Amino acid sequence: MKTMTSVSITTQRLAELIDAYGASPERWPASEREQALALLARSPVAREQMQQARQLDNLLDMAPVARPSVSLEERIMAARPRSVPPVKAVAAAPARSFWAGLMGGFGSSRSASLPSGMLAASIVLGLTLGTSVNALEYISKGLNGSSATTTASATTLATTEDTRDQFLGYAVLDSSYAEELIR
Amino acid sequence: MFRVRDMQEDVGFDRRPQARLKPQPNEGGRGPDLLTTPSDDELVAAVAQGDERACRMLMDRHLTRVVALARRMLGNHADAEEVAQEVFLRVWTHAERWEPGRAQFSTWLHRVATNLCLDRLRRKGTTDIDSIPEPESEEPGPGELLEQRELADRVEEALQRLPARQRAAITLSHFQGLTNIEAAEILEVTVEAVESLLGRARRQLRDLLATEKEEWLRRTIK
Repeated sequence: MKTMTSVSITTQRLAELIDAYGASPERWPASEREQALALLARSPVAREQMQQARQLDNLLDMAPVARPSVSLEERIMAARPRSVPPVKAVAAAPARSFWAGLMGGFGSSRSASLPSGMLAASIVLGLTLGTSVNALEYISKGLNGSSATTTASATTLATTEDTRDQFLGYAVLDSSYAEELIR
Repeated sequence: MFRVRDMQEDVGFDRRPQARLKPQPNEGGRGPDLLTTPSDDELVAAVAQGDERACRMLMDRHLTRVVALARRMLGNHADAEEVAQEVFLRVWTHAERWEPGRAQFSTWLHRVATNLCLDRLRRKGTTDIDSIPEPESEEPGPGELLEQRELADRVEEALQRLPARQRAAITLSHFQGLTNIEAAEILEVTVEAVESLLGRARRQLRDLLATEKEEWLRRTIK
């Protein structure tokens, strides 16, 4: 920003101010206003430029003035925030299970929670299937691998069909699984 | 798509979801003391508590200027009112996150309104400027004066022929009476850039309104 509080501005700078901000000194940058007015008083050329700028200012001021309609005010006020009601309604809501809550809105009120809930469920299901496959692949590797410990753990896992047990076994193997991947 | 401008429109807002403004000095959630003139910050705090009088006071204080800005930018009243409504919906929505003293409310309001207008103009594309009709070609005959309304329309047409950011600069500076620093903040440019936009806008307006200026001079001298 051109701050010239201690240095007199030039006629060129004054011309730039009038060119950009027009003929009303209150629109000029405050930091230069005083110096500009002092120079203006001494410069017939600048005063002529001011006259030209004032004509444009006056013309611009003839542009139509817009007033807000009553209906706009009503629409805005209708959308205003309201005082928050007591929270007892939340406490009185019947307890529902996660699945009941998730599915309850499906048929009735198209609850906004449904899409996000379904998405979350899909992600969990996908992760479950994905990691199970990875675990089984690792187990098969373990059966043929070189580590006796790994083979023993994997054999245990391979004999059960319970997915939860697979996860538990997978967690046990997790640290060595990363090393396996690196190799 | 997230834009820098979206973030900067949040200047003045506490983005922490748990934050709340300090309660008003008057008790019972009855809004600010209307015997003294409440500040914008006080009104926004009361708006956040659902105070109807504060909502109306804030709207009465700023709506006319917001509509005026949008009208200058967009050139028609219906669009201007749509923008003004959107601006105040944002005020209502975000009032409880407003941080008093962090930013000037009126500047923030101008920023939101200006950005909404620029977005609308951008969506319309460059054709909005080219599609604006030239001022009527028939010159008034010797001694014939333009009616005030016609002259006003021509000034508005000339404003609409400016590139959007030049129009925004002249609107903020000349019509809204904002300082160059405020205009720079709203347009997210330097003060020098604002000055450049203003200079180009005024030179173009001078050319576009040369005929009208002569008419105006004849009217005022007469």
